Amino acid sequence: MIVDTAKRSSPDTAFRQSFETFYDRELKAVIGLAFVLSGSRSGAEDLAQDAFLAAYRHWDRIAGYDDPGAWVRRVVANRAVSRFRRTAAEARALLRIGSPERLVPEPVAESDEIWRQVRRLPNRQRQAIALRYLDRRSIADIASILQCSENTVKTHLLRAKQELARRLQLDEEELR
Amino acid sequence: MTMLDDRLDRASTDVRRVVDRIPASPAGSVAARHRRRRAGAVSAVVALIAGSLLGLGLLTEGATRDVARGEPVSTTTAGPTTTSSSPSAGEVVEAAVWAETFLPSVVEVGLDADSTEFHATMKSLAEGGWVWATARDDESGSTLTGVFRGFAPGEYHDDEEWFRQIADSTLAGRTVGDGADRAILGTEAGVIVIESSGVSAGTAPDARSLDALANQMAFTAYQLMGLTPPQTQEQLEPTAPAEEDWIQIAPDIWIAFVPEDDAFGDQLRLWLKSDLVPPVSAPSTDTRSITLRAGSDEVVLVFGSPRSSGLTMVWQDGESKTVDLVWNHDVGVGIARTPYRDSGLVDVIEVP
Repeated sequence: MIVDTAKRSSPDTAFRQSFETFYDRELKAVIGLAFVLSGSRSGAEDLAQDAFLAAYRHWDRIAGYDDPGAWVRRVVANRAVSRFRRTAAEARALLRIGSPERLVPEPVAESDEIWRQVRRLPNRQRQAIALRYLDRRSIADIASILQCSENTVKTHLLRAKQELARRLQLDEEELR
Repeated sequence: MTMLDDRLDRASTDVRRVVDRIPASPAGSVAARHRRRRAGAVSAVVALIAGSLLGLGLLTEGATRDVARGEPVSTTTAGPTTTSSSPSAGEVVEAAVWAETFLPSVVEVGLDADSTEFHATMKSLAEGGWVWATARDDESGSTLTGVFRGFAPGEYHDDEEWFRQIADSTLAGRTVGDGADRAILGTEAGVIVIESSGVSAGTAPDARSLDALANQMAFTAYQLMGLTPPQTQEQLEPTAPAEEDWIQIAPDIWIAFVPEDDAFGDQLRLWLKSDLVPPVSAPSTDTRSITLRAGSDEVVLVFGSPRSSGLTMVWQDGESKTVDLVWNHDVGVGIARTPYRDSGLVDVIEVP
């Protein structure tokens, strides 16, 4: 956005250091979230970088939030919804010079299968699962990130786990 | 802890482990990306989309290409792959840009988009070519399709029935005609058709959503055709801001480019500067509402513009009196009353 970005042309040192600290602390976790939600080994970092770019543009405001990391995760969760965005991120990553080292390394087969099944869940359910297990977020945190009530998050998680159990051929008793 | 919890925990640990092995980009790469994006927004957006979809066309499984003039260039996606090839084929640029605008609406319709396709003719839109995008939910059989058929020189016709014939010929054999909901929008540059079929009643887009999507596609089509001319300026309502650059894209819709010194634009810019960051931390206290007025007209859509003038606005005469400014992560300022609104792809901010 032209209006807003104009003021970011000369970020001062404090601004930069503050953002860099945040970035260094959160980057890998956000890449992980992007990976499990998108399933793209090549585009996960690009999705994450896009989310950090969005944060950078408005860092003077976002830095004041209680949990700027939640904001970035919300951006990633939303962007990973779109197949086009995922594929575009993939394409950008693969078109970069030296792209192979930017791939998320291949997970072990078992976890790959679990995340593949998670990605087949409805959007909110897979987001809730990823935030709960991968990101170790509380129900309240997930509700804040997904902008819904805690009860809604609990419902998403319950239904997601029921469906995952079915797809992974686990006994429903295992959910209790 | 259940067995499923345990498996999810182990899968999470595995992902954290593999992500830790990535040589992370330095924080400076974000600033660099930011500077690159600021430099020439139009070219950056077009190049990015083009590059991405050029890549997409070559990355995705089942991609087919027919470079004969007038034949469609097609890509079909069937899930992420890691096959790569060098980019080329400028002919898929139009399909790429079209898909960028169209596909987010799939979320709004509730489709899972198991397969998506983009097509564009080698023939340019200004010579009667077309762009086409569709998404299909394999489980339900639902599809959503968007087509723009450009007018060749001298081909323009304003008869609605003629528009329908063009639309039918463009869509022929590509979608389910029976029981499909369809919106057709004729513009001076071409015909837009948005069609949904096989969507369950509870999730089917209503006519307003289809119309809104068609209007959005019209904007994209004009961008594809490089059209920015004030070709029909005499038709602008006299109450609209006097000094703007603008184009008319439909009988009741204009896109206006507000100059820096325009009072109306200044007012908008003031709001846009004020508080458009999604208020994640304080959603209940940081929302406001606004009514924008230009004489008797109402501004109902506000787009972030890649143009140097800064803002793009769309008037829809006699429609709505309230504007919802929506944060668009890519462009900046946003979109209201479109299929994007509840898609989760944008964040809604109401500004006083």
